[in-house]
Amino acid sequence: MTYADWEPVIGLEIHVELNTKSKLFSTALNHFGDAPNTNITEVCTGYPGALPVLNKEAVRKAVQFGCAIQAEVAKFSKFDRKSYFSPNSPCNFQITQHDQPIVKGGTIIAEIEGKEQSFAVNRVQLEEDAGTLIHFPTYDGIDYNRAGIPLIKIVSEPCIHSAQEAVAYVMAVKSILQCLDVSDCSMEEGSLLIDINISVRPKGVKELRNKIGIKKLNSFSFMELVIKSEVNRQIHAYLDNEKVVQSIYRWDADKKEMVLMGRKATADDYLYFPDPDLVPVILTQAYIDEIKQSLPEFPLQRKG
Amino acid sequence: MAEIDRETVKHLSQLCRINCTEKEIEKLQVDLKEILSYIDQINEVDTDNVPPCLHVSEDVFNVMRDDVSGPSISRDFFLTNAPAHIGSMISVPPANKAH
Amino acid sequence: MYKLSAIELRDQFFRGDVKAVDIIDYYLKRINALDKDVGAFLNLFHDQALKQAEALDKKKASGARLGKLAGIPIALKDNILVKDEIATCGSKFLTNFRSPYNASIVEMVLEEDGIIIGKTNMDEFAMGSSTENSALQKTRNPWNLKWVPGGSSGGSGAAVAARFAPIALGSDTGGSVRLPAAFCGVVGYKPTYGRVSRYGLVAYGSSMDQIGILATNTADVALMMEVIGRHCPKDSTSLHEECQDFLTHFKDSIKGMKLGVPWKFLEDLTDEPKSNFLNSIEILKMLGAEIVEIDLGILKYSVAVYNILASAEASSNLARFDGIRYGQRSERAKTLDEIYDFSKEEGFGPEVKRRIMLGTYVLSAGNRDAYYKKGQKVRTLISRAYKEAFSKCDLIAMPVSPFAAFEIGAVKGRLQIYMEDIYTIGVNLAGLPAVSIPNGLTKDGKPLGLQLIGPQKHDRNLLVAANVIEKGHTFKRAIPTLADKQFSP
Repeated sequence: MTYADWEPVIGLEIHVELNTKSKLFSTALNHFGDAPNTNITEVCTGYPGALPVLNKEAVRKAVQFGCAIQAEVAKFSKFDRKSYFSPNSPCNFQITQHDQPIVKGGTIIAEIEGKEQSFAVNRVQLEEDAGTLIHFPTYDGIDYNRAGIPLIKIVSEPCIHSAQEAVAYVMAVKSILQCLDVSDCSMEEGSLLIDINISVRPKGVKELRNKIGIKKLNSFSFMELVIKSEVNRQIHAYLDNEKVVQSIYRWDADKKEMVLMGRKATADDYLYFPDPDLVPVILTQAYIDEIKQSLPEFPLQRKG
Repeated sequence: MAEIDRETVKHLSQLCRINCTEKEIEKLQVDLKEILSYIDQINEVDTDNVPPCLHVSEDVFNVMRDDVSGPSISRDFFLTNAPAHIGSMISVPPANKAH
Repeated sequence: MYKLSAIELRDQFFRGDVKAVDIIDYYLKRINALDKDVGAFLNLFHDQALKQAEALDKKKASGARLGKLAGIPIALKDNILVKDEIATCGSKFLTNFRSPYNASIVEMVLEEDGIIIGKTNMDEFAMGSSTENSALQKTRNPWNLKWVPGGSSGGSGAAVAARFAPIALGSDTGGSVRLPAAFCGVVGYKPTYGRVSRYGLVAYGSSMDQIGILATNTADVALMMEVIGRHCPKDSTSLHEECQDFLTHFKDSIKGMKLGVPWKFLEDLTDEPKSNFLNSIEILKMLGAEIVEIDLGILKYSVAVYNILASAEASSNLARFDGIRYGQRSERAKTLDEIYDFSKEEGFGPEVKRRIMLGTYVLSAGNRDAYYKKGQKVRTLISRAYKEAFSKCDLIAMPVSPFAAFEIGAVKGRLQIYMEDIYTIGVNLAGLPAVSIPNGLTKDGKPLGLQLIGPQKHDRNLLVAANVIEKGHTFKRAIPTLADKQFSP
């Protein structure tokens, strides 16, 4: 086999902060750039006894996006707890949507060299953001302003096959989000961040091979760079009869390099279970239709 | 019933981040085995076609609030209530480097 | 004054027979004299309560409208948060933790001019049935200082029994208000799940927790329910029920009421708890109730289901205690990892660690279906069994516990530990309201309780019936000898 016999298989998870006035489950202000730890309540700082109450505007914005990409808006969705320990995670679990997200499926239409191309979305889920961990020489500081801000996580199918397609996909998503005015979409401020999963496989083969994950990319140029170099590395590894080990990296925007976070044979156990403090979201067809009717025109997306 | 061996207890202690002494691990092994063997009796119950109880109150759903922001807790209180803070942030030692 | 009910005390205050500061002074004096033996209180709000009382006296003098709880000293279990005050939850982890906010029910109590007199002892993080798991101090049963007061709201149960406050609030996840009420010979009430706000109650088993009320009589419980039994917008699981009048619905008879008894499920009941329960059944018949047999056989699995679900929820709820934002951070921790590992190692007691581990186990990837999901399904069956039973009866009557209070430090086999909660736990799994009323003493003088259970949202019917039964029962409200005096120990 030669280099040309291989194709990249890329999946993207785009984390988008919604521009609601208050946080997802806490009434604290949702605002970027304020002095640390000034937009906090007992709910988003994980104080004992505090309880979450869902922000209805966050639900609306998630449904707006779902309608814009002609996805299925779930009539029944719920929230789950994802357990992991981190100083910027106030409860040491994240409230997310594991098996019953608010939006399923969907299509992103992007323009690549003058031609329209469709990309399949797997799901869009509502979840809360974590606080900010800031590295100082002798300690880490934690700012909880960002903890609890509403996110939608837009998960694509692994249907992207080049850096160019990846960039076009993200630009198309960004354009829809801006049209809807559901997010500031600022990659520099971190309100739009991208996790990439990259693997390669021989052309014509269906099975997926081990993937490398890179988290929290915040620019198109870095995304292109990382995809091109990683695809190249993986193909050469296979051509040299080497293995590609499943690993996760985070993107260090200052050093402009991938930093290895871990190599795991098995996935982390997040102990998912339904959040007992929250009740299901049951949406009517009338609610969904009302949102569909009020959607703006999109350059590329077709109206349902 | 699954085996509760020393490795299981160590794995659990890592998942829930509670450091255990050797003595504690031994005792937990015994205790968890005992508790789980009592709990295993639920396998006698036929639960085919029985939905899981997601919420005990049947008619509570769509509880949401308006998108209005409210007052924050005092930053001074928040920081002084914390075991350690530097400037306006809670402080912890730097995280261990990734392997 | 200690013999007065909360309503009687409040009415005296209303009439001007006594000032609020005198009431608080009196109770503080009692507590200072007698609580050194009982150990009900972890934290006495001496200055704060007197200040509140002074303000209340001024308010009365100004002619302003007074609240329903005016002048009543109320004790709170130490897992109910009061703004700027320490809340330990009976744990070493939180001995320095101050809450930045009031629990919703605290706001409601203060708005009705109730006076919070202090925080009571409890099993650590509400895990236990005897208050022996408190990491901070022992609470002794006022009926006999060698006995446990029950748990996990043992401090609240003891405080009411010893007449340190006419009303105390606790929390009930598997029986933690009803059991100490029975062991301490007072009334203990758990509302329908969601009837009382959980905002500001430190969570243990979120889908089962409810704040409960302990008092010397059912009318006082009803009074408190009129104040705290209402919708709370900060708690997503709060029922959309507004305040109800309870006291005006009290009546004189339960004639014709159908009371279900799960005789088969109670077969293993022995000795005095058995004869005491049978005696109560006779009294209920005499009061005009019709006793109907119901099937609650599935409750034999209730303790197992509770162990799975409560520990799963607890393992997640207690993850936040890491020594980073509040609470005790381990001093020997040098790295971030050590802060997590050592703070929890040092801060949590053995029972808490055991339950967190169990909870983690039943939620872990390979075990979730067999344990957590299966437990959720059996929970559905338990709920259905109660529903089925309520199609045949209005209320269910059962004992509170197969045993009466036991000695502090008594060694118990694990099976006995499970059996303690066997009659109370099913109620939490099904989200039902339930009350324990004192209905006798053993030959040794240990109090026993009769439990009445209602369908969801039937809190008022339940308390109305409990009140009739309390009035008509041959066993009358009794005060433990230790407490049956004004001040001197």
